Amino acid sequence: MTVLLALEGVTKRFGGLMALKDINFTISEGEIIGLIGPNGAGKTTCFNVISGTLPPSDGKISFCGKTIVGLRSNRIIRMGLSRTYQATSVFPKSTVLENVVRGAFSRSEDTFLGSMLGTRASKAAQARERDRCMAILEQVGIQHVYNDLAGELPYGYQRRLGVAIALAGSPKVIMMDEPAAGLNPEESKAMGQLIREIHSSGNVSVLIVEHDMKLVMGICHRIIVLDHGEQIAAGTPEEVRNNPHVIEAYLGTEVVG
Amino acid sequence: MNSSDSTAAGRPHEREGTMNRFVLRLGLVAAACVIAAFVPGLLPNLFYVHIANLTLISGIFALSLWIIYSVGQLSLSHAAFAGIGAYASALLTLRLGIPPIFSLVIAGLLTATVAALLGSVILRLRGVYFVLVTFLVGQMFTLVALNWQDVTNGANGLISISPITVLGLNFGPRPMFFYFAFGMFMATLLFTWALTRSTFGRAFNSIEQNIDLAEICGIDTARYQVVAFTIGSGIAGVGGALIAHYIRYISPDTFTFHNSVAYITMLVVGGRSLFWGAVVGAAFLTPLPEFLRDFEGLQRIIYGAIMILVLRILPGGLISIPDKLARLGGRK
Repeated sequence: MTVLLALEGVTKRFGGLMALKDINFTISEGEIIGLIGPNGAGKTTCFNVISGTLPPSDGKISFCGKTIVGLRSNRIIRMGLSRTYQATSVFPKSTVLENVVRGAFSRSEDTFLGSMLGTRASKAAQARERDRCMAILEQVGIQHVYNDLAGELPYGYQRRLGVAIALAGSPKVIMMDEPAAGLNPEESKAMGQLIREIHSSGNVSVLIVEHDMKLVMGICHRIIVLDHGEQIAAGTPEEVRNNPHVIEAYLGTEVVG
Repeated sequence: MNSSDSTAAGRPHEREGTMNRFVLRLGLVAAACVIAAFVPGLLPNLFYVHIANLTLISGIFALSLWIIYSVGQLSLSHAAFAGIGAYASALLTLRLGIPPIFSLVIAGLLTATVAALLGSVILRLRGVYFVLVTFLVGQMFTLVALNWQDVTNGANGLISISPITVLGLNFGPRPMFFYFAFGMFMATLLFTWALTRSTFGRAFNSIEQNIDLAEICGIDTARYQVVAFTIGSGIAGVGGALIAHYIRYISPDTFTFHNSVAYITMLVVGGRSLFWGAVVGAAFLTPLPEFLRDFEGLQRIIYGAIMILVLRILPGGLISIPDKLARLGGRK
């Protein structure tokens, strides 16, 4: 298994606050990794640092062997490291299909001049792109609403659309920030199923932040646990479940009389 | 047939629709040209022709401002860029004797260059911060134009700027200039339309709707904002140069903060959601004060009242009238 994403000693300071302290982990091809921890543990900060939204204060991040520290988000995403947001994030005034087409913006074969003049080649490229994006919509299960405005979709569908947009860029690694947040248990289960399908069908590695333990324990190969910006445990779901540090972080220390 | 026909329901209809729409658009452009050919002859006097000319130039300014707005940025320096183009073109003809038809192009490119340099610095800002900085850019232009005596001739401005001539045709007289302005306006209109459906248009609109998501779609949001600002301001520069060679006199007062606000007002009143809202806004607001001239004293009050009414009843601008009527009809 080749290593795709590697973090070495990644640290992020906000003034005096250590949001991330010496984080080390790797994601290899075909893995599903869970990033868990109590609220404020630094999970989303970790995502933002990896995806280039925030620069790390220290440490090395490499993707496919190339360092990505200091690159802007759009560059990192074009290298094949996609992400979704914690809140719903769509282009509300565009159709569902158009949203996915925009997700594929950087890999489109359409050219500026061709699209401006409306050439046959440009139209053919756009048609191919739409067909490919329809297939992605089918994969996430919302192909029947392809012509609706994204802003008018029900919440659960918007979450799925967010995943479809990320998938459209043909990523090697997809980072999902709480994909099941705000979903009911049934929808959450379906989301887990979807993540598994994405992983198996496209050979995509997945890094997810999630509070739904049932979901995380069910689908992840390995889990990394953060608490107060520190990496306190890493291992298989079984190992993490029985790790005393993890139990302490979530439930507090037991006071023994 | 190829495989793409079978995928999505409704796809064959879409294709037929695009063909019809293309014929419709071509027809609209042809009709506009035919009507335009007769306009100068049909208008009762030269004053009306003058208003028509100003309206066309306003249309160019409003459209170019819309291009900047299409990445979600509101520029208050639009008049300043028009001014840079006007001074550049005027000076090129006055000092270097370059024919106006060429100086027009050079002025546009020069303005675009200034906008690109400035834009790459100030487009990091968004919302009110960007608006404020562009306001300052506008003020700076006015101060430079007033105080750089040697070049701009200060508050006196530049006079006797030569009119546009192409192949012996003199576009100086008002009815003749109408045709030139109409050609430039149509070029801007068609360019803007083509831009909206291009890959750039898709990137611009993505940035306007959700800049964070646009960035993670792999769209270089910083670069595309500079591109939109450069194109929009460059066209404004050409528009300003048009004014210089039409009125044949420019001064710092020709391109003030109030002009920038007027262009934004055109966008808002016409409707910001689609590019032709800018055209509707320019066509409505440029002649309006002239038609209110009979109500001496009340002119500005009526103008203000009309503006408030439009914004109160039609927040989507004049282009939302059909939608609004359809909804009113549906409610009955």
